[in-house]
This record gives sequence, C-alpha cells and structure tokens, in this order.
Amino acid sequence: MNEPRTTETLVRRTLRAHDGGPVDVDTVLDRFERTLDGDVIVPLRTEAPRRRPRSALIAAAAAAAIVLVAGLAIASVADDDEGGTRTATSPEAGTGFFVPTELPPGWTLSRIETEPVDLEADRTCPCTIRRWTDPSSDLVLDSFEAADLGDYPPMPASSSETLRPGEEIEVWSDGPDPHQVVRIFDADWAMSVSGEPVGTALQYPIAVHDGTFDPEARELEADEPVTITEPTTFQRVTVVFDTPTGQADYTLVRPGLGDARGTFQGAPAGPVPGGPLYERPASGTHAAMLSGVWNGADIVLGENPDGTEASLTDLRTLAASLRPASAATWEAFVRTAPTTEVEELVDRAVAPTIADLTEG
Amino acid sequence: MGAVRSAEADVDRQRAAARELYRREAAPLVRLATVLVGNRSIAEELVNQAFVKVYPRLGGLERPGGYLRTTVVNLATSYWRREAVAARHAVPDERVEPEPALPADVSEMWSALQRLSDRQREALVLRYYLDLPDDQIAEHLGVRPATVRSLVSRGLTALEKELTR
Repeated sequence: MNEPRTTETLVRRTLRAHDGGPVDVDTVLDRFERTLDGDVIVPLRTEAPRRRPRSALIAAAAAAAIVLVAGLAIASVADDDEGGTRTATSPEAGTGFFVPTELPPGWTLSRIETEPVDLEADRTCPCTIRRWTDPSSDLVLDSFEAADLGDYPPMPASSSETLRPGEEIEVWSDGPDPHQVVRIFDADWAMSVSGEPVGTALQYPIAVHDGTFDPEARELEADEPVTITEPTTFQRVTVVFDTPTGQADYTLVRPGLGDARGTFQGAPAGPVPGGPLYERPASGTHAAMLSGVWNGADIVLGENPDGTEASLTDLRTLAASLRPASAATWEAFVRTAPTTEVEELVDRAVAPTIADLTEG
Repeated sequence: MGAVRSAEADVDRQRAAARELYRREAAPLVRLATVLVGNRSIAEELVNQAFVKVYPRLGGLERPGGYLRTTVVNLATSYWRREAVAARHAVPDERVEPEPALPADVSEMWSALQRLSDRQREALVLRYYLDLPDDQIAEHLGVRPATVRSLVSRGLTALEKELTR
C-alpha cells in the first residue's frame, strides 16, 4: 500500500476548506419550487446558446478549413457517392470529421464519447508541431519543437545513431522495416518518421536539424504548423457501433496528436475512400487495429475502449464506410447518439474542425 | 374530470418525489459545485439548474443522485468555459468571493488548483473531495478509467510544479 503523497493530503484539505460549509437546503429548495412554478426565471448563465448559429458555424468551418489545411489545399480527398472527386474547397474537406455511410444491416450506433488529450502540452508547451506527408501518406514526418522537452519521452532509447561526426542522438524505433516508426529526440526538438527504415529515415531529421530540408524537392506536402502557446487540451472523439458479431469503433483526433502509426506495427491495408490505412491483425496479445493519417485528422479503428475486441472484418467494413463530413453533417450525426445528455456531447464533440475541439 | 384529477395527482407525486430528492441531495451537490466553481451562490444556481433539468425525467432514472452529480459537473464545466470567454473580453471577475483566513499552504494550493485544466481539476475534486473510485469518476466525466488516472496523475504533477516555483 502506497503512502499518500503530501500533495494529495494537501489537495484533500484544500478542497474541504473550500466547500462553503453547511447548506441552507430550505432556501435552495424554495428557489427550486418557485422555478418549477414559473415564479423564478432561472438566469441561464450556464445555459447560454451552446453553439453558434448554423450560418456562423459553416462560415467558421470554411475559414478554419482554409487556414488549417492550407498545405493540402490542392489535394483531392475522396471520391463521392456519384464517383466524382471532392477537393479541399468542399465544406467537408479537412474538417477531420468522418461519418459512416451504408453500414450493413444489424449495425447500430452504440455511443459517441470524447476523451481529452493533452500530449504533454501542459508540461512542454509553448511548442510548435509540424507535419509533412508524401502524396500517398505512406511517409509521415512529425516535428515537435518546445523550449524544453524535459524528461520526454518516458522510455529508453532503442539505439544511438550518429547525427553527424561527434554528435550522437538517441533513436526510438518500433516495428520491423519498412513500416516502423523512428523517433528522434533532442533537448528541445523531437521528430518521428514513419514509413521508412531507420537507415533512410534518419536523413529527414538530419536535414531538418542542419537546415537543408527541402520538402518540395522530396515531393512532401506540409501541413500548416500548429503553435500551442499555452496549455491546451484537445478532444479525441470515439464512435462505437454494435455489430452482429460484437463492437467496432473509430477514433478521430487532430492531425499530429494521434500518433496514428506510432502505436503499433502494421502493413498497408486495402484502399478505402477516407484515405490510406495500416492494419494489424489480432494476435495473442493485440487486438485487430487499423490506423492512418487522413485529411484533417488522425484515425484509429479498433482501440476497444471497453476492452471488447473488434474483428478485423468489422473494422474493415467500418473503415470502408467512412466519408469526410462537413461540420454540419458531423453535428447531425453526433445528435443521433443514444444519450440523454446529447447537448453536453455536442458541446464536447462538435466544432468547425476537429482541430478546434479543445477544452480548458 | 377524473382524468384531470389523475394528472394533477401525478404532478403532485412527482413534485413530492423531487422535493424528497432535493432534500437528500442538494446539500452535498451544492458543496461539490462550490468546490468546482469557487462560489456558493453560483453553485446554488448550478444545482438548481441541474434539478430543473432532471425533474422531467425523474420517473425514469435508476440513480437520480448519480445523474444529478454528473449534470452538476457538466454545468460547472460549461460555466468555466463561459468564464474563460468572458475573461478574454475583459469582463471584471465578480466570481471570486473574499477568501476566509486559511493556512498559507491551503490558499496556495487553492490558487494552483484554479490554474489546472478543467478536466484535471474536476478529476481531482471527484477523487479527493468525493473520494470516488476511478470507474465512477470516469462515468461522471464521460471518459475511460485510464484517462482518469492520467488526469489525476498529471494534475498532481502540475500542482507540485506550481507549488515549488
């Protein structure tokens, strides 16, 4: 049994000292009764309009999409149902929201939930996150700069590599060639490279470090850099379906914060409309999982939020059904979630783009 | 006429049930809301709103107490979000009441708690004020138990960092 930390004891004392003490229940009960009788107009400080008017929402979505996906502005994102091609100028491009279409009979929406992700922001930011991808999104470079990365990352390096003569850096790598993720850390800078073996992956951080990195020459597209100037918590959104064989889920989070391919080894999956995916079949220790870097969001399917393992077949079916959605379409989808607190869910899960889902 | 009397009796029964629930739950909820928003009168307002929201559904709730608590936490979160917006527009902060004389370490800790993210603060309040287990905190916050552990751990670390500055 661990001894409670001094901080825990002090937090407990502090909270108890600030609960205001005894409550006059009759007074507050009277207020409640008068509210029910219509004698008191509840000052709805906390019930102000939860969302901007639809027109403002759409306008903000368009504006945000222009800013946030500038680097992808000319990329087409997906074929629509009629076989045409949507471009980044369409309202759904780059929002980072994806909704399912035409799921098989027997699939029903179980729930939609959000989860805060602060990605070390409360410890290491102000920081700047940059991302470059090749047109197929097979190669993804994520750069993370901060004044002081502190003790990040919290795991030992797998090897040490020579950045240049006399200067060695620590390297973290997961998985066999060629789909491993390489992470390289310095005191104030971290970079992860996925889609290249260690030997060739190193060229990218070396070039960035030396100031010779030329994305255009390498036919890489750059996302707009994201600068976080204060502690910020982002929301990732998970959608869970009940299927005839169990459950299947997908999770969306703003680009660069999902570590979409960093969590497992995977091989390229079959093509789906949303974008490229990597997949890992279930094994004795791991559930089946798919993940990828899509337009406007990182996506993972099969994280089993409740520990229920989804079948790879169900995950592939779900992945194939996902299409980019405008903010308005996403909100309409969120409102179909079977919950009694739909307004609270909309509050947490709806914004012009997934990158705008922040709290705090 | 019989149908009208029956409907009136239903309303009376629902009001009586609400009154009983209020008497049982209001005091701890007001204290919880006070810890969450730092102001008793706003806390009472939030609890009142929570009861008004829950009232029409009272008959169908298995655990109205837990539902009310979640509603209060959500309303407190919404309150802080709006306060943050108001602060950006330089509205004077009338929320803070004069603090009673407290030991310096308690006052410093209270200030540090206000600088945490909403979610970290809520997780710490539910853990250390209500002594709830991870799974119940997760239910109230709408996250997974693993996230609760992360929020609490990071919250404590942030507090320690603040207090050693």
